[in-house]
Amino acid sequence: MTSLDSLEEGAQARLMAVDGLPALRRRLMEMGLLPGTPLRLIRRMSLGGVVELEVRRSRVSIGHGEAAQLLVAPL
Amino acid sequence: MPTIVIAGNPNTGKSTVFNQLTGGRARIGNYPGITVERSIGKTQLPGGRLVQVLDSPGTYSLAARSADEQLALEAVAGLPPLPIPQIAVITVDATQLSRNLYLVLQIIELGVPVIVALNMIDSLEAAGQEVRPEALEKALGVPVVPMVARDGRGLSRLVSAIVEVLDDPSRAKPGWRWRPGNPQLIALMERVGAALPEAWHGNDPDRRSALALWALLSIDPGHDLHGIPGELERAVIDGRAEATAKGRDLDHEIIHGRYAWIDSKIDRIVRDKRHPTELTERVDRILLHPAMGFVLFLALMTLVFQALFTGADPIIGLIESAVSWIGNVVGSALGPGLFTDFLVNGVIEGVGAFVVFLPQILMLFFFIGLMEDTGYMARVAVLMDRLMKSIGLHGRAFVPMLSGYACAVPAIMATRTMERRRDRLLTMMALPLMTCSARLPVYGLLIAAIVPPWQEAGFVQGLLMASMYLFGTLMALIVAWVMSKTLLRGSYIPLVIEMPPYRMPHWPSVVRMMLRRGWDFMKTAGTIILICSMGMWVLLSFPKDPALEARLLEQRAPLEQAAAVARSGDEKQRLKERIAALEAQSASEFTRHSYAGRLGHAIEPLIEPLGFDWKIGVGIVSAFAAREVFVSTMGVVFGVGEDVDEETMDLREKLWSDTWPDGRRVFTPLVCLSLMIFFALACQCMSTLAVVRRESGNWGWPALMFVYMTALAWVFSFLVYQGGLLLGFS
Repeated sequence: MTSLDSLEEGAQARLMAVDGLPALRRRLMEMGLLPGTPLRLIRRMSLGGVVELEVRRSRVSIGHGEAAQLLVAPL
Repeated sequence: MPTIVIAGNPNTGKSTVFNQLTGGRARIGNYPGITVERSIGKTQLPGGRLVQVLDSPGTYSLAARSADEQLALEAVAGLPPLPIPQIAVITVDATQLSRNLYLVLQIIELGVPVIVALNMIDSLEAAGQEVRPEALEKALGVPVVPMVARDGRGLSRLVSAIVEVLDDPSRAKPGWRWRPGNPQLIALMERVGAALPEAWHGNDPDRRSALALWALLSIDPGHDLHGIPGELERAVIDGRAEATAKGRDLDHEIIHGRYAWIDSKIDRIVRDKRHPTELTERVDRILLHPAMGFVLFLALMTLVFQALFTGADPIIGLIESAVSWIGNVVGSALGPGLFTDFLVNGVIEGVGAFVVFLPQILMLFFFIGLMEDTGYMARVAVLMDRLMKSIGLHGRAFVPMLSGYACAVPAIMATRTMERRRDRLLTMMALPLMTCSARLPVYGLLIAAIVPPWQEAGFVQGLLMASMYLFGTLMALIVAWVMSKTLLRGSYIPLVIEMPPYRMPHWPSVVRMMLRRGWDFMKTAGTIILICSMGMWVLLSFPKDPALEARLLEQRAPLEQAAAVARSGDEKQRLKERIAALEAQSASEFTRHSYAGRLGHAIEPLIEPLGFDWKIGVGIVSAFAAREVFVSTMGVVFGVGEDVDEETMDLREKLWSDTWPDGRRVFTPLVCLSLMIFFALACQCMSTLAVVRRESGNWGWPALMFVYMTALAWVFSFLVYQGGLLLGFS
């Protein structure tokens, strides 16, 4: 298991755990980032401080801070 | 009257649907007890029934962490004092269906009849998906209306669905509710449910369960919600603590339960046609490229800024000439008199004072509409997030902040692209410190006044102008940072931005949005500006001094007679100049005795420590109408006439030779600098305050803005002037 932040661009993975303070964690899960969800890392933008994902048929960008709270198992 | 509430995730076309249902005739009010804007409209349905339509804040979930977020639940569930809605129309982005369905499930749980407006079905092609509305309708058990809200497709079907559901609410209330299966969780829900105020659930068991789940996901120790009874707070916090002690994860149990339901249905509703968003992926490879993405964004912003800054100029000039032409026509048709003066200088100039903002407002909203409609705005937030977040601002605050260099008024309106009120207010409060174009003539005059009139402005003057830009920008960023740590702290919101597929802009809806914003400005902020202009007219035109007027007439008459019979052109010209000088002299004397002039005198003790005399005081008072008015007021006060600009030699000479009663020069370089600092920071703009009033919904925010900016201006000018004196400058 590794943090989402350290995935390669284009890599597929399954979300295993969501860490972080209760309110942040709850918000991420409510947006569909739940343990068990498959995802793909589309791009990492170091300047913007953002990671773009494909999850549940849609694309979302999340901050590096949030990405660090998501633990994934590469597929 | 039946109530229909419009709910939905952010950026799903919620306000478009609202505007189309109400025909754009909405009343803007505040939620009870809290100054968050809400729109209320009325519409007449086919068959003649009148319904009330309420907008609700866009949200991914009803669960709330702050009083602001709590409004979504209050509006959708109809918690007292809001009415329980007969229908909740939920706008849903068809390309992001599963996340959008999370909110739909929560609202269905509440037992409110639901109609799903399945919006943006025209983007499915680009997203590589196919959605079957019948399958969605079957799974949810509520009406689903496929729509393309921005061009009105599906609107009539939505209206007929509303009529059908009003006739028979059971059509929009599925027999099922999503319910947790775990007996321990059910017991906890009952315990929390028993602690809920009866007024919230009215003893409806389904509603009680739904609100209990809401409370479990919303109430944390130290929460920011309002109106939560102590009993309920204890039940939730104790219940959560007990569950955690047993190693259970309540958040996951509840959220996973809903998503498991969605996941079990979604494959029958959505089909993947090909790998999603190939075009989008290719475009993003360029537009989100770590280097090229920034360069292109900055290039685009330069273009927008250029358009606002210079492109609007000819149109603004045209409006100004039209206003003065109308003023002249009205003036000569009515003949001189107090009423004419009021009509020309109070009303017509006042209308001109706000119409002049329209070109920039329309241009800015045209660009913003284009960026939002094509899906580029989401990328802007991503590109700028880290930079903006380091000073406490939202990624989307970049466009408004940049527009502030042109004019704060359209820029403040542009803060609407941000969903959260805290982000909007923060941007609004810091933005007027950006060096707007109205400061330019003032800086120009003062920079020119530093050097003797017989000298040309040189390199140092250019550097000074650039420094003023830098100073304003830095102050805006510092103020934003300080406010984000204090007054507008706000809870941390995780950065999760949806990336919609790119699509071609829909021109009619871009234009419609632009016109709506323009009209909105004219109607609300425009009225305030007009009233302020009339107030400024009173200050500058009263009290009348009959002796002064009589003297002017007496001295002018012989000159006019002489000019009428003068034989040579030179002679005529010379006499005309003497008349103009006489009139300017009289206007100067008049202004000194007007209320504004007296106000300038009255504030002299206050501004003397900054190095300003009462004439500058008059300028500061009159510049409240708009900063650039300072220049023409200086022209009037110094008897040069009001048609001056920063290059006018007469005015520069008068400023150069102006002295205090003891013979010291007034406009020393240090005073000019102190005055520029004052203009950089002071809130010398009634239109900005008017538009902040409009956008924040009350007078508290503009009042705070005026106070903090004026205080900041005074303190900085004081430090510059007194510090400069101590260091031996003059």
